[in-house]
Amino acid sequence: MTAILEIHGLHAEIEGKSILQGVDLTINPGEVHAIMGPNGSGKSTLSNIILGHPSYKVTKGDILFQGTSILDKSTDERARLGIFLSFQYPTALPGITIPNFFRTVLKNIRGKEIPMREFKQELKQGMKDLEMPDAFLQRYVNHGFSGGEKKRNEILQMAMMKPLLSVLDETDSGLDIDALRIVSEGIMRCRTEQNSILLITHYQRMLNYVVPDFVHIFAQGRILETGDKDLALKLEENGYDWILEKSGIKS
Amino acid sequence: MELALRKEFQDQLQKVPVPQSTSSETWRKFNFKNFNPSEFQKFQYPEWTKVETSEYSIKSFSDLDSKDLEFINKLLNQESIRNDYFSLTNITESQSAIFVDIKSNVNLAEVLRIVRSTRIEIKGSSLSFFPLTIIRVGNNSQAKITEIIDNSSDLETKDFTWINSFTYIHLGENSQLEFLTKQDLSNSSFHFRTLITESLANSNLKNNQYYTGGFRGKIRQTHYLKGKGAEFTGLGLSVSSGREFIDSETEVIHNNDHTTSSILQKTIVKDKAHHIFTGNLHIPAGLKKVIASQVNHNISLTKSARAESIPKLEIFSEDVQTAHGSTVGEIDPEQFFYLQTRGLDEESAKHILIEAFLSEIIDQFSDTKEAEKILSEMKGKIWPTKN
Repeated sequence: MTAILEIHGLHAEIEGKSILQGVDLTINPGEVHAIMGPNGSGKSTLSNIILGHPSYKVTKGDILFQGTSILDKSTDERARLGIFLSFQYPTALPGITIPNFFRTVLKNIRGKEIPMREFKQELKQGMKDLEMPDAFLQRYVNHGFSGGEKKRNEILQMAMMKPLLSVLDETDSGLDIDALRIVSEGIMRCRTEQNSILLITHYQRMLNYVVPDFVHIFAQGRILETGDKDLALKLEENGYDWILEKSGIKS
Repeated sequence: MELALRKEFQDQLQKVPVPQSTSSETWRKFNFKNFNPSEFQKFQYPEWTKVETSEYSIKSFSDLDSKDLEFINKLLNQESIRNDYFSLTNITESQSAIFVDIKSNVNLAEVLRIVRSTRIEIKGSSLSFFPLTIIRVGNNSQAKITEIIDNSSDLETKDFTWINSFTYIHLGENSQLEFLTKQDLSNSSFHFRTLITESLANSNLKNNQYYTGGFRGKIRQTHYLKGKGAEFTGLGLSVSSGREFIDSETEVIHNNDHTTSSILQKTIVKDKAHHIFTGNLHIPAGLKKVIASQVNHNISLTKSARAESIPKLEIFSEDVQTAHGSTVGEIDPEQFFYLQTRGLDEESAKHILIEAFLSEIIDQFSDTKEAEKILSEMKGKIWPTKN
C-alpha cells in the first residue's frame, strides 16, 4: 500500500527564519491524523508548505504524495493531484459569487465542465448537508461571512472537490457548538477508505466527532510525540508543559 | 427661446483663461501640452428629437418654455461654474444642450438612455464636442438614467478631438435616482467631464460611472447633499491602457444633518497608463449624524503603469462616522494563493480575480444591459486577444 502523504526530515524557513525543523510524518489511505500544539509551533506553516505557499522555502527534506515528490509542483498542480487545504482564515473574494466560484473550481479539479443541471443539484445538496441557506448562492465567496459561515464553505469545497488528502487548519476555531457538530459531520461524510485527513487543532472538542487514528504533538517546528486519541485527552487535561519539559524545550 | 445666462457666460469666458498646471491644485497634475482650444472646429450635433410623456420629457433647450429655462438659469448661476473655463465653454458653446425632466410622483421602470455619441465620420480635422445635460427629478419620484458619451469609433483619426461634457442633476425630495455615466473615448481625445449633483431632503442618489479611453482627461464631480437625510452612493470604475492619462477628482459636500455618503472607486491600469483618483470629502462644522466613507482600490497590471490615490478629508463636525481606505498595487497574493489551492493555475486565478475586482461594482448597476456591455468591453481592453 502506498502512503497518501510522506514527509521526510522536512526543514523550512520564511525570510531566513527557520520554522520547520525536521518533520517526519506518514499518512496512509483512510487514516485521520490530528496535529496539536501550542500557538506559534509551526502547525499552520506545515499546512501551507504541503500546499506550496510561495512565502515559505523548503531547505531540507521531502514531501511525497502517493510516492512521488511534490516539492517541484506548483500549488494548483498539488490541488489537482488531490490535496485540499481548509484555511484557518479563508480569504474573501469579493466579486466572485458562490456558484461561479464552485463551477470554476470543479472544472479545474475534475478537468472538465460539469453540466449545469448536475452542478446545481450537487451544490444544493452540499449546501443542504451543511445547513447553508439558499441565500448563500447570491453572496460573494467569504465576503462578509461570519467565522462559522466561512468554515462551512470550506467544508462544502472539501465535499465537492473530493480530495485524497484534506489538510484542515483549525477548522474548529470560531465555531459554536451547533456549527461544530454540523461542520464535523460534514467532514465525516467525506471520509472513505481511500482518502485521508490531517487535522490541525488546538483543542480536543472536534476530535469527539472526527476521531483520529493518530495524534501528534507539534512544537518548535517538529513532532515531539505520537499517540492515539487518548493523547488528545491527556493534553486537554494536563496542557502542553509536561511534553515540552519531557522534550527538553521547557525546563 | 434662449438661456439668459448664455450671453453673460460668453462675456465671462473672455475673462477666464484656459487653466494651466500651475493654475490651482485641481489642475496640478494635468499636462496641457498640445491642448489648444482655438484649433478645434465645432462638431455640429444634430438637434435632439423631443420626447414627451406624462411622466417625463427630454427636450433641447430651444424647445423649453421660460419657466424651465429660468430653473436652469438659476441652477447654473453659481460662482464655481462662473469661474471655471470648461463649464463656461460647455454652456456657451453647446448646441446639443438637453433638459431631462422627470415629473414628481412618478416611478419610471425603464432606463432612460441618453446617448452622446459623436460618431465622427469626417477625418482629418480636429473637432470639439460639448454635450450639456440638465436633469431634474421631481419630488417623490424614482428613475434610472444612463448617459453615454462615446467617440470610440474615431479610432482612425490622427487629429486630436476635444470632448467637453457637463451634466447637472437636481434630485427632488424623497426621490431616488440611479445615474450611470459611461464614457468610452478614442485615444486621440482630450476630455473634460464636469458632473454636479444636488440632493434634497431624504433623496437617494446612486451615481455610477465607468470611463475608459481617451488621450488625456480630467473628470470632476461635485456632489452636494443639501437636504436633511439625503443619501449618496458613488461607484466608479476605470480601465486604462496604452498611454492614457485620467485625472479623476470627486468632491462630496455634506450640507445637512443625517446625510450619508459612500464612495467606492476601482481602477485598473496597464501598459504605460496613468490614473489619479482624488477624493475630497467636506463636512462643515455643526452637522449632526453624518456618515461618510471613501474607498479607492487600484490594480496595476504592469510595472510601467501608475495609479495614484489622493484622499482629502476635511471634517469639522464631531458627530460624524467616517471610514477611509485605499490600496494601490498588484493582485492580493493571499487571494491568489487561495484560488491556486482550488486548482486554478496562475493565469486562470489572475483572470478570475480581475473579473471579480470589476464585478463587485458592475453587479450593482441596475442597467444590466449596459453593465454586460461594460464588462465585456473592459475584459476586451485587459485581455485584447481573449475576446
